[in-house]
Amino acid sequence: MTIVKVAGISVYYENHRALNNVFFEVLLGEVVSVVGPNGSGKTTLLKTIDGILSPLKGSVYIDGKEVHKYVRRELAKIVGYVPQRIDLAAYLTVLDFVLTGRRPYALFNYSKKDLDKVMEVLKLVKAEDLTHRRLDNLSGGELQRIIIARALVAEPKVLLLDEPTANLDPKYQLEVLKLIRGLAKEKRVAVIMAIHDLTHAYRFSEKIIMLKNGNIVALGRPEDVLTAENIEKVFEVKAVVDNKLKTVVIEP
Amino acid sequence: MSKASHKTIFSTRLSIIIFLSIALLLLIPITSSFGQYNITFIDVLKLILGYPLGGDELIVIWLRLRRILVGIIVGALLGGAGAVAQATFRNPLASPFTLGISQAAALGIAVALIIGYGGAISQWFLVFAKPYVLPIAAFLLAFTQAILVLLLAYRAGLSPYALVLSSLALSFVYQAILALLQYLVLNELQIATVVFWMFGDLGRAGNTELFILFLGSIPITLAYMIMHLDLDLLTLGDEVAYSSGINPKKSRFITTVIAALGSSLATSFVGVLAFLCLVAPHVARALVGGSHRYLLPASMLIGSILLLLSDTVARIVLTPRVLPVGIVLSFLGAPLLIIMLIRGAKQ
Repeated sequence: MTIVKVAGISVYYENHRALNNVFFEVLLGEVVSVVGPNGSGKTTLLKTIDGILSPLKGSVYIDGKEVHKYVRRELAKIVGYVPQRIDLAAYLTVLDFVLTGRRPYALFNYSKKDLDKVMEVLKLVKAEDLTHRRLDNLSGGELQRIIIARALVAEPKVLLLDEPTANLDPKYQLEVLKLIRGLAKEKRVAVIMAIHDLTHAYRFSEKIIMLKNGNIVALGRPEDVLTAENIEKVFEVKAVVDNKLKTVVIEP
Repeated sequence: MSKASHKTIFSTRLSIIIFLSIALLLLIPITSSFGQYNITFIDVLKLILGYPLGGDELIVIWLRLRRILVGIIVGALLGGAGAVAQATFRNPLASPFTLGISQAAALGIAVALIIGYGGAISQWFLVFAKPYVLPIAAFLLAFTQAILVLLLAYRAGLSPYALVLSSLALSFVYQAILALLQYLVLNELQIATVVFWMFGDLGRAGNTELFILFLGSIPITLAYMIMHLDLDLLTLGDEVAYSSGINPKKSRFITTVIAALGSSLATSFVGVLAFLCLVAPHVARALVGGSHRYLLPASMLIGSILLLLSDTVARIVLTPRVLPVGIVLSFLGAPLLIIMLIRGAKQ
């Protein structure tokens, strides 16, 4: 079932065009990676899907309804957005932080149901023993799991992740990506993530969107999109793609 | 970890808040027994419990109690406003006074002195509103300043950065006008009044002032508490706040107005006690963490306790002279901040 439909959006920052006539659809339970060089429009795309930015042309539909027709609080229950950077306020514990993800459901205070949901999600991301730890005492991998947990407690159908593996060591990268793929399969969440590592994109997604200067250069299954020609065209580097091992090696 | 674990953390925070409340209640009779006129703890309890007392004792106890009650309300208003402002500006060094409220209020005092004491229209002014000329002028200018800052920052996107810059720009204007008035118009006595007013002193609030402070503090406290969910989100950044279903600009506008109202009300009656807004939330955060559901009440209670203790020291340290509490507060609060800084660095 289609949950996200991006219909011909063009987004401008002042006079600079950040996205140009972008079309694609995402199904429930699908993991879609957005790849492209810095400044190609990955973050802009994610922000436009979440309604943080408005397209000048075209529309984004979530669950059949145009994003800007949603009441903000209602949209927050369907779409979870994890930005590249979160201001980690000191003195917040993991529990406090993840609980703020339930804001769309809370009027004046968080209920027992909100707390139960937080504990359930912390268990899901294997972080229940971090509940009382302060955010500034967490390792990079733990923190990333907690940030994803915060987006998950709102029970979204769509999860937008902006470089979820940035600044993580290889072990944590794998851990976070496995978690993301598990969520998509088990909870039927549609995941759209911006990612730099092409091998990870190949292995962990059903669909890849390749962007350059705000235009979609290629869109489809990893083996069709991640070809040596496309990579050279978009990233201006030579690459060796092994479709059996599902790896992309950039040549020096 | 089981479900019980989140209950433990919340009940620990609640216990700290209950402990602070009890400590504050106990401080009322304890601190009121200190002072030049000898009154015992028992006398104060007698008054509170409704026992008949001699006329002199009654007056002295009431004067002290009134001062203490003013301190509790002002401390709570400023402690809460500080916590709100630090989340709103996303900066642990911010306070509602970052908005330039103190300079604006001082200018209000200067203007009131010119038109209320000795100007051509002073006659009717003195008759109708003399005791309230200064507080009203201070409040009006302070709150107007906050609104002007918001309007100016609104044009620049209402980010924390825009708020700080527009506050700075406007407060320099107020300082310049105040300096000009002091240089050209005010006499020595009036200048001394402005300077003394800036010190911050609980003694100048009378019964009516206490009543107004009490009435004003109820809606402001409620407003602080209602905003606690949004304050948590504001500290996480605008994008996170927006994607969690709130409009960060709207929330920042509301929280700035609330913090400005609280601090302007307190400032207009007792003068500038800006340091309290800075130190109370820091102590509270170390005790109950950063979640505003607990941070706000804890910061208000600590604001009251700190102000009460400082005022007691101010009353007894140089007997028979009574120091303005603002001076003592800085002497007591600054080491507290430094200790926390060093402990934080060690951690």
